[in-house]
Amino acid sequence: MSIIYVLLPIALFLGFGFLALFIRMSADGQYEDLETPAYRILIDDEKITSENQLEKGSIHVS
Amino acid sequence: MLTSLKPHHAHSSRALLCIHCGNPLTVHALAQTRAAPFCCNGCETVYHWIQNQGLGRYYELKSTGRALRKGLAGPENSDGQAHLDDPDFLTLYAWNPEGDSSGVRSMEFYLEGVHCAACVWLTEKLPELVDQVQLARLNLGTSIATVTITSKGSFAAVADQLQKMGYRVHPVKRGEKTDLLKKENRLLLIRLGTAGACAGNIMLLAVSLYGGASGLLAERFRWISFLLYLPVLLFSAVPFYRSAWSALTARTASIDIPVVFGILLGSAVSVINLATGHDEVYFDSLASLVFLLLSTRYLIRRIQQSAMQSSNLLSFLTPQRARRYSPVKGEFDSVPIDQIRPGDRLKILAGECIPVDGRVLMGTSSLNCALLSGESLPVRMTKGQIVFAGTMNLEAPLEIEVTQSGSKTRLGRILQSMEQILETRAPITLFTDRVSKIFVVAVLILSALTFLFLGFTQGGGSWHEGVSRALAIAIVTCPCTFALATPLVLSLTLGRLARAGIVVKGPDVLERLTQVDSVFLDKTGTLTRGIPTVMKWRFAQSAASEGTTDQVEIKAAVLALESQSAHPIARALCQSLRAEGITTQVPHVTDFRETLGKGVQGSVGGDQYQVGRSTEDSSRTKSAPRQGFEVLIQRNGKVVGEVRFGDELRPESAAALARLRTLGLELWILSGDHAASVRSVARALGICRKRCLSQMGPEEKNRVIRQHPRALMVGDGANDALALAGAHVSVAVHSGVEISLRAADIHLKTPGVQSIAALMVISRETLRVIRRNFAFSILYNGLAGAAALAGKIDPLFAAVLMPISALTVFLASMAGTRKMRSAFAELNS
Amino acid sequence: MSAEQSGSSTAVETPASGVMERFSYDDRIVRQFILATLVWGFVALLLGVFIASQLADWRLNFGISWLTFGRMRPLHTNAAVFAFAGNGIFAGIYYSMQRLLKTRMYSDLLSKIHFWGWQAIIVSAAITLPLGFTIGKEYAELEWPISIAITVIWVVFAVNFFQTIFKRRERHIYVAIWFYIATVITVALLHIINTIQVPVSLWKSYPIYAGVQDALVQWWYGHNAVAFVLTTPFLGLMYYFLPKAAEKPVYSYRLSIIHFWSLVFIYIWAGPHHLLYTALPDWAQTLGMVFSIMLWAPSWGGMINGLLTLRGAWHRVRTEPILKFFVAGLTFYGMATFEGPLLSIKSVSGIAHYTDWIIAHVHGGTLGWNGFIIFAMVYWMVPRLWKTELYSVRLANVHFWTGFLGTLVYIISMWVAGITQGLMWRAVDGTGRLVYPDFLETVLKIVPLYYVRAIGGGLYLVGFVIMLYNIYKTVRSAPADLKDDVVSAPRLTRNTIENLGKTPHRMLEGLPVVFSVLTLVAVGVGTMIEIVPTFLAADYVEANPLLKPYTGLQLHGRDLYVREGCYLCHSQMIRPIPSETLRYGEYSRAQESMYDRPFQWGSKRTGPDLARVGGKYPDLWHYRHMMDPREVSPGSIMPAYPWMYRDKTDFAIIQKKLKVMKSLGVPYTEVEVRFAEQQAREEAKLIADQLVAQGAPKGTEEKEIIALIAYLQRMGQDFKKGLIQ
Repeated sequence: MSIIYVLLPIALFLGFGFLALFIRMSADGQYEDLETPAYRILIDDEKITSENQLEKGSIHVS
Repeated sequence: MLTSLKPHHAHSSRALLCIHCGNPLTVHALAQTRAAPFCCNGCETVYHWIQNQGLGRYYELKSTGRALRKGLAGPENSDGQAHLDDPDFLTLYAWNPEGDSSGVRSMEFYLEGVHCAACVWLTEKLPELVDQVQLARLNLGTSIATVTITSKGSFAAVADQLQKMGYRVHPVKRGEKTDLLKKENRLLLIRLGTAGACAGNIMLLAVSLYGGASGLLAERFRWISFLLYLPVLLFSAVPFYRSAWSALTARTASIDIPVVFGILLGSAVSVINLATGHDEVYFDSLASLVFLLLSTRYLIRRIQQSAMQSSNLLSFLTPQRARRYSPVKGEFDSVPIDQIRPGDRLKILAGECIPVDGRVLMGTSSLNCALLSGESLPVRMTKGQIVFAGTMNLEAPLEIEVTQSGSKTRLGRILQSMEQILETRAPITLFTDRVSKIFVVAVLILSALTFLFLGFTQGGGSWHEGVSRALAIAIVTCPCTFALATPLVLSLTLGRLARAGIVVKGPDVLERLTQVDSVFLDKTGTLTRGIPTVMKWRFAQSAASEGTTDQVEIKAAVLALESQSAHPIARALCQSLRAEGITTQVPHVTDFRETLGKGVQGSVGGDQYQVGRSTEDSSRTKSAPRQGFEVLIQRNGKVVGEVRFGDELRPESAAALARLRTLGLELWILSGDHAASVRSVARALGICRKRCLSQMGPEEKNRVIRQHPRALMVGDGANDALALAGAHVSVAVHSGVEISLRAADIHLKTPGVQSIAALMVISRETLRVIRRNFAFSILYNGLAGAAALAGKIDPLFAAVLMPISALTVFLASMAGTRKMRSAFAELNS
Repeated sequence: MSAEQSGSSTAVETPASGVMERFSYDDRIVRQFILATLVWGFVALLLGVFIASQLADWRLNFGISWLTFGRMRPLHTNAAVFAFAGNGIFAGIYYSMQRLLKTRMYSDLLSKIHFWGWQAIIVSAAITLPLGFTIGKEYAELEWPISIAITVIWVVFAVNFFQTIFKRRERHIYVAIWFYIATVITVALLHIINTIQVPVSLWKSYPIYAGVQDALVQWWYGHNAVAFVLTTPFLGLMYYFLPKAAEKPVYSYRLSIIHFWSLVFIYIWAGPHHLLYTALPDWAQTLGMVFSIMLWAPSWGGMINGLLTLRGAWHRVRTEPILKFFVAGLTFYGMATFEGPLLSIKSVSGIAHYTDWIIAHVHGGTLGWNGFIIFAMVYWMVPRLWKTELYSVRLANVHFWTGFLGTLVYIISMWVAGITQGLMWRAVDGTGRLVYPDFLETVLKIVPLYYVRAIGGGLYLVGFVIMLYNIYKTVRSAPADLKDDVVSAPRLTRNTIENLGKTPHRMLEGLPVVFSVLTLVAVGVGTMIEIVPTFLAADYVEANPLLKPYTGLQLHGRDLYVREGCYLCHSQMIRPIPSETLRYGEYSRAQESMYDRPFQWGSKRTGPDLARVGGKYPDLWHYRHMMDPREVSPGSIMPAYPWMYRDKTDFAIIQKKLKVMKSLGVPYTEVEVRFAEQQAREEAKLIADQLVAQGAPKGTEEKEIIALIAYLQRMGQDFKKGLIQ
């Protein structure tokens, strides 16, 4: 059953990879506000057509 | 756009709700023919502004998502926001998110009136509406909007824009305390995540060991689980060491001491076993213990922090600048508030808030003194009368001479004394903390004894047996049932209450709530609606005899006249007339004039109408002690009708008070209003005469409350703030002013008192669940401790027993009692 | 395809004043992936119905080699998981990710490479699998060239995916994106670790793991392919598309975060529940069981969070097909993730393993959960992507009910079949003898249920065709030029990301990170290829010097066994359960499959277990059985293999195979390797002569059937010779 010496390091590498991701994200404040994101996705982007061209200094990116 | 498949059903039949803020209309008004009904003209102005800005999508978005349980405070036309750009103001409130010299600055605004997804959309459109704004982020949970502007931007423009959107804007002081708090929260979350990850992986190896892995493989698994345990021991458990250490240095016993003792002892034994090749290692149960304790601690911390700090109250309520008369220039210029000295002459325009205490020198106007008297009815002020800071000048410009300014004003003194009371109140440690201290000491002594007793009496060799028994005792009796159960029950209740719209400041409040024996209720705004409402119409002989057509004509004329004015009486009249359906033919009004104190007059369809309180009439009311007041309607000089006004009792108040009485509580009414109206409300609610105290100023209310050590104070106005702060437990009803929400322990998000009875039941049941948990844990610890002492339980079995006991306590806490569940069901219905 | 959106400037200059940037989403790639999903969905379902009907009536493979069940089943599973669900996930990810992060994909070119590359891989699989080019490991059957192509294309997708996250305009990473991140990272790792092969020829290779090691790695991959291809991305899609369709925020966003983090940590370790009661060591089996049972909590957390999102919108479920698909999908997910932990309990697995109950569990999840989520997503996205209304809502409802009925018929028939067969296998009477000794009797008992299952699958396919027609008519009514809409959002400069002072990780973002991660993975794999074989082999060789590996001919016969996919209906693992040792003989030890590359323990017993079939029947029995199974065991549903009596054995390649095996640590002597071909021909001649003696026709020594018989007769012999304790 020596395969465990291959699988275990992989599992730990994966586990602690995600832990590092978790730490970086919580340090970046992702888990501060856990209520508004659920609402924010419901708001569709407004299509900018020639009529409601926003005069604000927005420029075309890509 | 929202072109999902659903057929576009007609605008839902919520005609009873204000189209803008969704608040229920006070009177059951029918939909107005012209536009949708509004609960106040504030909503109406915001509605029209949003429409002509082309942001109509706001109302479409309103249908998505659940409206949070928050009423809309209604935008008052408070003064301009110029002070937001003062350099000294900026140093206090703004911060540079990136710490470099690019001049980009951010500021946080607390928005009163945020309640659904549409507000997120509206607020976050700021970059498109205001120049130089880089980003606007709204946090629905705390209603705080973070706005970032470039160096050339202006926060005043941002605040004005938010105001136009219908929110009351309060800049939030962003001191280092809030930064520190955020950093601590994140650090605790990271410790929690690390503990979770390590505990998970150690459990993986522990299950393999329990499952029967043996030989070289098992050896390596134990070493790997030790390596995985190190981050938990050295990083995640640091908060426990810190609090245990501070408790030790202060020579008090705290719950964390046995936890730390258990962890250190367990780790030591496991490392020794690991080194000497024994197969009992407890890294898995220790790591899980740290993870469980950290998660409950994180939960409670987040709930307690959701209540706003009351650090910057005064700036909320009084303007930061005033117009002072400078003799050299001969005219008024704007100066910051703290430069004003007694004796200066100030000019207060209509619609502005009076920043200082003073005496009126010139001009007469009516003031809204809700902040101090709790009465929303405007009070007329003329030359020579004393005005106080925090009142709102409604009609005409005034010139006053400053008598007191800053924190020495009456409002300032009230706030200061309130802050002192809040600070000095010693944090009453929970009953459960006190008992668990005794338990802690007992466990320590017991395990030390077993270690010494067994170690020596049965010969030197068997210290090992002593250690394992001591450890067994420490683990099995480790106070996870106390450390876990009590805070868990409290946080569950606090969480459920918060979801039901009742924000409780802290767990100790629940305990104090159970010790209450008498309830003091403020009248205006708490028991009653707080705004003048039409009670009865009476018509003079001439109109009444000619049948109803004339009456309808009069009413239509009154509606036409009153809809032009913003006076609270006018608004009440329009509401009730719209309710009666007098909307068909609203005649045209010519040469409309609104005079101070007399009311409104104008000609409608040829007749000259005048609606108002004639001077001699007001003198009469003082003598006749009847509740409320009348307004006369005169056509072409002849009185044709009379409207009686009063403060409408909230429908649910009677039932709520009846339930409070069944709970055996003594009910009192404490109000700033005059005796007549207080007594009539008391009669309606069945409260005996001697328990109605009227015309009570903030100071008197506080004195009364002090005489009753176990009083529950329920109020809304600022005049209750002092009493709320002083009471044993205090509840602030939402309809009131922002300030009272800070002073109170409990803050109801929905108007009215109907949820107080349920709250009392829930707090009593919560204590009963805690005591039930206590009984269980004492029984469990007694049995388990004795068995461990006798050596029947080895540490492994202890490690299994401990989580089971924690689990049963957890499930029992979740279940609560039957009464509690029915009370919560009632709250959420 | 619609006209390409006019050129977009990539240079980004932000004027001093406001920072509103106008950009457009890349909807063209999403349209392409949706069409691919529909095409491959049809192929996968058609294949499913085809092989289901073959089980009911064996004649339906028309005697053609590349239509038999053994070769069609891997194509069905790969098509369903990687082509149908795969393209569906990519469509959902490309659509939702751009809108959640308010930015276009990082590079349109990488998106195109990813799309066309993935379709090319599917086509190559559709060609090679029917031809028998397979490495014999379930859900990872594709030979090494295609497996490398998969890795390359997946890396292209990962680069595009992470770069899009780094240049996002929305600071908060919504929970759906977290599920996608978990999918991208973990699937890459799983695929690479599981398909490390040493090539023998262009279309033949041997895995570096063997026997029980290969079993654990395969099912570590197998379970997590289900986990990270069929569950986490679909949960991500659910967390985005369900709120959008219901126009309600998710019930508790906090619960979804907790759900994600707990799922990530527990999922990776549930693999061993596929190997309960096998030769896997006990502790690993217990580990698999415990972690699978713990999986129940996060899965149901996700389901409840999804269903409660519909609070206040339940009345719309009655009329809207999209919400019906979501509700039914989530309920099937709840059912499958309750059934899974239940099946992972050893005693339940004792009954259910190798029976059709497992097939019911699989299809409860795939048809019910994956299928319905994809249908809901497609019905919701197509009107938006083609800027038109759905052709017919009524047809969508009809599709729902046919699909729902089809799934139920499928699952219930397989439940009945599985439990019936499981109990019949275990039935032992008072005197300790098997009540149903003849395995064929247990098969004939459930053949009628195979007809019912085929009908259920057919119903599901009919529903799918209705959707095809509906979507076709919708797309036809779309406006001619489908330009991407232009939208605007404030640019997310570093200074608007709230950070308390300079965090050291700031430089983590950007291209260097992606490449450093990829090089790490590549280096990791490289070291593994060198170290692992020596490490593993050294561990066993001296353990049992008596054990002789397969001879050249037997090894070639084994590769034919793998080519024809015999492991899909026969297992080679006798479990330590009384009824099995009575039926098949002594339970299998781990050492018996020590040199098996790939391990062939199998996961389904449509036919009897073959672990100890060696020497049980004379060669002639096998000779006539493979020609026409019904001639020897009347009523059998096994297909015939006439082409094995025509095609010649490729003796030339046997030497190369032995050389590769030797490099992987199998103890072949120098002599065996050098004279491999000659020894193989002698052995074949020997078997052919014995066959002629027993009455078989002459001239068969060159034929493939001889090699197969050599392998079949060798199975389980080591134990009989007492070489294994």
